[in-house]
Amino acid sequence: MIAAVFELGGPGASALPSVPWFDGESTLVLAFGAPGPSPGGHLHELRTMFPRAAILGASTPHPYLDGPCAEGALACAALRFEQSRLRRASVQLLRAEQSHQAGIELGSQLDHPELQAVLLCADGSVLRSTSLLRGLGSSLPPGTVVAGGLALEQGGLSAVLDNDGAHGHCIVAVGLYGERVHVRGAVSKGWQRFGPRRRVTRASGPWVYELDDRPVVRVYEEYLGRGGAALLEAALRMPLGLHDPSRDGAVAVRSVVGMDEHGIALSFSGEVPQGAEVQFLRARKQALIDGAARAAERLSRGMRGEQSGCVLAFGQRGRHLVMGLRAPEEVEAARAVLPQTMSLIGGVSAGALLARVGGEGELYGESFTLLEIAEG
Amino acid sequence: MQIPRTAAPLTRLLHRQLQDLGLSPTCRPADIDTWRLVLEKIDEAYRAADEEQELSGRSVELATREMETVVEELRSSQESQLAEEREKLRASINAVGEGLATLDEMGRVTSINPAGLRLLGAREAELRGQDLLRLLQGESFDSLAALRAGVPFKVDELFFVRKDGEQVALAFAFDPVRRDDACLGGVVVLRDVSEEVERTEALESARDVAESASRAKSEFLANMSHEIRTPLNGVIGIAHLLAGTDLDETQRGYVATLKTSAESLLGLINDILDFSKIEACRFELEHIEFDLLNLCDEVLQTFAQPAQAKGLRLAAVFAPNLPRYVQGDPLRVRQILTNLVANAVKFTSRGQVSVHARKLLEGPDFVDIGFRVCDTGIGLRDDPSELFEAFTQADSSTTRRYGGTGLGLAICKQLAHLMGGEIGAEGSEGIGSTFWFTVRLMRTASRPTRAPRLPRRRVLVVHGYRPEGELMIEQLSTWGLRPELAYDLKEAASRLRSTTHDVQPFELVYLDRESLGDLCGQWMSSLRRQVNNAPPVIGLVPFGASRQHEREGFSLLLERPWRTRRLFNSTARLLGLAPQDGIDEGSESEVKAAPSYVGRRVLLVEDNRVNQLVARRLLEKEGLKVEVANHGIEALQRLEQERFELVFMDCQMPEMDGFEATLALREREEGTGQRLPIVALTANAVKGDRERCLEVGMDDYLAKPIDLPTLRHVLRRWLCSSAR
Repeated sequence: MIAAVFELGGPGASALPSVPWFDGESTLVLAFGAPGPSPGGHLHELRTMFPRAAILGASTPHPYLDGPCAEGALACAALRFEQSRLRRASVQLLRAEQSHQAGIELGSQLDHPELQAVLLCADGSVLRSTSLLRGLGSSLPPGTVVAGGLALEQGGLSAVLDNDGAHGHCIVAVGLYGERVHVRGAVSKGWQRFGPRRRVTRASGPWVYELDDRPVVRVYEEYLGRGGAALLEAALRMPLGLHDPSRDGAVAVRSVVGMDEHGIALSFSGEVPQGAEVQFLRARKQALIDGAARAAERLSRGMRGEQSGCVLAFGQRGRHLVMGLRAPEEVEAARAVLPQTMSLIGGVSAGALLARVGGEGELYGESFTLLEIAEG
Repeated sequence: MQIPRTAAPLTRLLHRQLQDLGLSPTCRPADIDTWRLVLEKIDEAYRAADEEQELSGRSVELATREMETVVEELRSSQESQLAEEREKLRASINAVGEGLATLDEMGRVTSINPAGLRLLGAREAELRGQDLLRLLQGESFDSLAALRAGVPFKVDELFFVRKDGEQVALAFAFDPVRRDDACLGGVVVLRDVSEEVERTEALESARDVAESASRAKSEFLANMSHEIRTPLNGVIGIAHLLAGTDLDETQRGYVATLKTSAESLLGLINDILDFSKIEACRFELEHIEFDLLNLCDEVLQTFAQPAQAKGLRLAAVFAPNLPRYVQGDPLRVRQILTNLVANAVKFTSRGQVSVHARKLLEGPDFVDIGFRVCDTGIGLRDDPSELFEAFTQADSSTTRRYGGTGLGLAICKQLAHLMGGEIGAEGSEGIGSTFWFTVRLMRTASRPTRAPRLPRRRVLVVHGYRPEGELMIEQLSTWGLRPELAYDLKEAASRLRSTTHDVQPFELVYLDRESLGDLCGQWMSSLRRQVNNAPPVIGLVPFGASRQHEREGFSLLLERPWRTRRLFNSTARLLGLAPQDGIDEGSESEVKAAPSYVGRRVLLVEDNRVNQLVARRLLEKEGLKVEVANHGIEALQRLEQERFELVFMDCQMPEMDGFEATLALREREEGTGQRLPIVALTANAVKGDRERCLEVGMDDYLAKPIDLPTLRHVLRRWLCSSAR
């Protein structure tokens, strides 16, 4: 595999790789950041540069390209596979309830005996990741890796990117085929529980109404000292840890992603079942930064040889918010650990997905997730 | 410019911000606008830090408050729950019927339930703080040690005196309450056991009553049997005498029936007595030396007549390892053997009954003897072990056909067990049966047992009834002879004639007269004519038929069932062997003529008129001159005035009993050098009587009903030595 990274727009915009043979059926182009207007924007420019390659990406205000990038830029990575093949797929996702059906459809578009992994980007505001994975599981063979990230609003628009442009309410995916392609991941959380355990006394899907019989919004207001939109913003600093009774002490991170129109319910990045026990989570900046470095270390240990490849990194906005001015240090720490031959691309997202069909894995909310895409 | 990785966090941030502005720590901003931007960045960092701190502080404060609330709620809910639990527990403890008290680590009562207070007859205020274990167990009880030991214990019954003076029976259990190794106190459960104590007492007294009733029953049975047997002895004795008088055919028949009826009644009573004695565990065994061979022969002789009457052959075979003299209870061994042979004879209508005896095992001081009684009778049906249960016979029709109480085998079983043995039966219906038993007897040191041996001489048994012939061969072989069997006279003759020089000739012939028939005499004459040195011939004849065949030319006649000793001794004699090789035949002998006691005087001391009559007649029949005394005093008077050679002394008599009279007589004899033999007569065939008789100075013992052979034996013992 040959990988090249470049930046479109922004202060650090790099020179275009003027190698015509880079484009092709076996080339994957990853793009994160600001797609820009169409026509005339960065994405448009990219599509012109790579008419035959498969483009996959998502909007984010904070793209990464071997480190933090400036807002407004589009970070790109072109990966030319030598023995593996690619196939693009996409489905519309207008409502959360369609997540399962979307998974089935996506699976049926990509299914092939040689399928190794599915990379996808989705609009996080309407996705139900567990349903999507179940849907994919019904049409794909067990063991297939499913990995990807959720788009984050950039310039008032949350969109996924592909060869056809930028789309809201959509899932775009690329299937990777062939024995030699592989996708691995490493995840760092780095959150700590605090305060009493609370029982979710009223909830439905990702919507939570009451904790310990009190309106969930009141509880957040108390802790954050603010309400309304300011609350939503600040609430990202205090996600909920969902206790898993079957795994003692283990918590899944659910961050606040929205509030209902009446201002009484909060929606979270994943399902929060009624009756479950939750606890507020907080993070220390240094712990988050060190966590990212450790994830990069874990991923590096499994890498083969000196060949070049690409690491897809997804930071998340809660963490970004907590780290404030030090947010760039997270991706810098990870970059410093990874081998120099590996390029890093990605950005701050609304969530990252890393799972195997029929096996472990989930949507990781408020984590720092690294995915190695390699051909060996 | 690179940001040093090792720099402190804030420095790192500042570096980045300066870098963003194109500045560095060593390069000042060139213009005021850049300077303003620097300040803005610094301001931004401060604000973010402030905001963060504010949020953190708020979170800590809120979480702390919430945690406090949670803890408070938990505590109060725990307290109310605890109070609730405690109340439930108290209600349960109060509802329990048993007394329940809790003790502290010093053993002092901390609480006690109403049932406990009722039991101990006290109020809670009185008991609280008291050392309950000491209160229950007495002043000397070390409660502290018991608590420290921390081991539960129970007291099943104790009497506690309440404050009001009333005594109650209590049981209590103590259980320590422990945490780790320390005893924190304990729980005492108290129970009123007055009713149980009363019930136990009632049961005990009921058991005493039952036991004494059982004793009374046994005594009653023993007494009754004595009371019944005394007149019954009279009936039997008189019947004996009556049979000896001039009677016509009808009368003789009546007397015979009278005799057998009375005898079977006596047998029945003896059975019942035995059984009840064994049941009441009042059965004691004798331990005296006796002649085992003789005992078996005698039993067989007893059945010689009935067997002969039914046409049955009766024989015994003794293994060479069978010891002759042993110690034990001959009466009981005889009883079992008699019973089994009687059954065999009773249930066999044709064929033979044989008794086999051998030593099974020998220990340092004991021998286990096994007996087998084989017959060719009706055999066994179903489970043989059932036969040995009381009141069981093969079926009820058997009872009708053959009679019997059904107690016989049950008694045998008990007796065999008492003598350390077993009993059993095998065989199948219609083929015949074998009843066997074993007994453990003591070896006797006084008379060493030597197996009887004869040299390896060739002898011929001529027998038309194969099974008996084979038995005979078996018996002769055990002595070391080389017996051969011929089934008829013709075969026998040819065998005897075919003797050649290189073959040892037959030296003795046994001829079964009964199976071979009348030709025997003729056969013997021709044998003697044809064969030089024809061997002597022993004739086997039916019981009581010696006289009938004595002129047929036999060298010797042996009546069936043959007595082992006679068979051996006759064989030895006819083979020309020295007498010391033979078996001692003992004092009793058929061949010897009955000694004559004519005119010799004996004194019979007996209070019962019928017994007087019977005993007197029996003695007179032996030729004795009999004088009678009615009791001890009269006896002493007669003995002072007249001279007697022997005294028969009844034990139980009015005025003066036999024991007293004997003591007086022995006292009188003291210093005179004289000792008049006294033979006790008693119907109490109970162990201990004999010892008592000998103790007071009597010399022998004769149980009633008087058995003629035993009587003769006694007479011979005491009168022959001094025979004129």
